[in-house]
Amino acid sequence: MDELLLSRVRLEVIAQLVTAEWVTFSELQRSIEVTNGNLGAHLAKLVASGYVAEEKRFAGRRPQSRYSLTRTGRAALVRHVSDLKALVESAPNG
Amino acid sequence: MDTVAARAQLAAIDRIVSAADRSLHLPPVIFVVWGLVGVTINGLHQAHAFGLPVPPDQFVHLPMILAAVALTTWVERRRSDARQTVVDGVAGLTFAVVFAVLLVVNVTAQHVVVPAAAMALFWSAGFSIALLVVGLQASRPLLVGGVALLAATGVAGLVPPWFHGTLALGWAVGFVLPGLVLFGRRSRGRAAAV
Repeated sequence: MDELLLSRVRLEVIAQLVTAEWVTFSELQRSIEVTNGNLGAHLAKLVASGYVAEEKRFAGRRPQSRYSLTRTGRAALVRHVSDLKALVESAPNG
Repeated sequence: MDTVAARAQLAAIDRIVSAADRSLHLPPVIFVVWGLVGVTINGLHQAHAFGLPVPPDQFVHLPMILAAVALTTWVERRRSDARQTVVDGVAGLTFAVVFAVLLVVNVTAQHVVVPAAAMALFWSAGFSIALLVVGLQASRPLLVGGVALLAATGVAGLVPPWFHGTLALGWAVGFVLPGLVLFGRRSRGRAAAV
């Protein structure tokens, strides 16, 4: 089981990113419904682990942070989902 | 972790992936701009066929294409969308590849082995394929536009006096009209969001 993905917020960030090329910080915050600081801290861990890539840019004159899933992050999610399924299937009542 | 928590995590992943945005977010103005390029180039050729005085191709084609590329780049850089979907990436790549291939053929072969009229057909057919590919995945207006441009490409050869006029009409219905429809939808969506 991937320790990093045991957090609900970090798992939801990865799941949001797996279906998109990139997502902005504000959109992640809106989708996952967490505070700025909380999301920032979780994203910092995902970026540090190499699961998520961060790009800072300007959209017009407004600064914007975009996040995308790396290959490492995608592989981690696939592994994590396999582990979760294995755990569920190994339970006595399926 | 216990099985209850594992089920909850799997359900959360399933919910997010199922509800994922798979729509097209490319700025509609890009379709309008490239449509107008196609309409203008083919319209001028039609005017020339009617004997009207038109500026030479080199004074029109290259500046228009460069202006369209610059505008596309500028609009893309200013995009303030909250996310880029997988479909957006595929659409951008599809149009870019079609444009690059046709540009290479145009620069290397036109007037050498490919007549100008055939090249105009290649541009229309190539971009109708791009519209169909993107439209089938995510956008009915672009799909209809692709069908219209393909139809114009097919019909153009059957009406030689109106060859370029038919292609110009195809670019108008294939690119400009869907661009305006998508622009209208986006404006209504923003108004609803406010």
